[in-house]
Amino acid sequence: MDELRGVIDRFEGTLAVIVLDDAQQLLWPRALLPTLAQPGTAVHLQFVLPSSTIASEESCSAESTLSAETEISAELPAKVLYDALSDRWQLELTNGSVLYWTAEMFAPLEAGQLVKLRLVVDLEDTAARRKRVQSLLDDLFGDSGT
Amino acid sequence: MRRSYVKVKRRQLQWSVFSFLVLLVVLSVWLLLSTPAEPPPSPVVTPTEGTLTTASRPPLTVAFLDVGQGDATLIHSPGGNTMLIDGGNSRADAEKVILPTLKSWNATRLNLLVITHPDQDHIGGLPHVLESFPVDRVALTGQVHTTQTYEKVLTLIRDKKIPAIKTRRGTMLELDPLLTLAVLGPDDAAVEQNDTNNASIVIRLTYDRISMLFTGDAEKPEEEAILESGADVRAQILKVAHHGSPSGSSQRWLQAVAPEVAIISVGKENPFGHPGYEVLTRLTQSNITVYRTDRHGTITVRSDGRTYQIFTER
Repeated sequence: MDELRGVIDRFEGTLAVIVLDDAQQLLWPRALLPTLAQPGTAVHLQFVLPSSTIASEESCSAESTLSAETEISAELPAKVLYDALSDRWQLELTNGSVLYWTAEMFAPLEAGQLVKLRLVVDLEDTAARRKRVQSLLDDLFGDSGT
Repeated sequence: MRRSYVKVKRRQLQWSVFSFLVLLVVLSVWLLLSTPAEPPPSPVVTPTEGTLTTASRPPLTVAFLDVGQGDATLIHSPGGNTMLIDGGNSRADAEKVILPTLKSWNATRLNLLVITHPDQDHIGGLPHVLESFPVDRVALTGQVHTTQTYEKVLTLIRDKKIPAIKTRRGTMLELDPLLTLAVLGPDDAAVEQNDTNNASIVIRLTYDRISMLFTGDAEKPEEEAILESGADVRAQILKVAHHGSPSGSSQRWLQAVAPEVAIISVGKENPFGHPGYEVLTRLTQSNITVYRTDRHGTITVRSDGRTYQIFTER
């Protein structure tokens, strides 16, 4: 699995809450979202391998001001962490938001290493999800759902 | 000599009995004052008038559950029916808070489930609730939202053939003949917008002379729409909208509702800065007593329809 899928659930002030299909939640700075990203928009999260080596706290925070690159994708720096308690690898954004991923993604990396997390808007998946939900609502309300 | 000895003995005995009785009274009073009468602990505040007379009138119990940064409110009606408004943020909220509370109330089913709006922090525990507890009816707006959680919730409602009530301003929900559950918002236009908060189901519950207002995540636009509709929003107990976010709870709204008590469901040290300083200030300056789940844990209101009492978990 080289990407996670989810939806921008809502905006809370300056943050966007992304709810992934595996029920994880991620906070993404609203100002650094792609311009097409709105609540309800489906997104992919991709793991971008680093060009540099071990990250320092300074470089991590310095790059956290990245702006949205295009209409459909944006990247944020993240740090690779190993959670010994749960024996799981995770990515930590500079705002402290944490995301677990499959272990094989971390095989070439080590704890403390800087990577990037790319968020890509998926308009096709958004439309497909809306259609499925509308169909469910039609079933529930006898085709009179809004 | 013998007589005087007996007299002294008798006086000593009388004194001892008197001292013992005094000690007994003091101990009884101390015990009475220091032991809570009944769970839940920390009874606080505030009959509005008279004394609570639950012996003659069946009680309404409303528990604002401590589900961290989310919303879940359980209601046990005077006639013994149960209702859940929203389902917390995650499966853990259902497993650790909602279902155990239902079980502690000896509830065997939910007579009514209300989904105020489809944001994750209001529906996160609902798949698990729907999978593990019988639900008779579900009230929802039918707004489209695309998370997997919402899709799961709708799929479970459909597959379990649970009747769904398309809920709008003017809908009267039924739970108990002694209660009125009037839906004050949203209207069709709000549901058609891509704004989940301002299409929240807002309910005014009335039990005789006591009213409570449940507001979901309604913000200023929905507050204004409800006020413009001319609905009676007055309530002694206000569940503050949107976890106390400054996007809602305007001065005009608070003046119209005129609550005595405000309850904020909010997570400790949440990343969103809830509740907002402005909202807390407005509540305090209006002399409204504030309870918060992050500080007080689960907050329970009990009422006989004439008076109410509030109990906090901590």
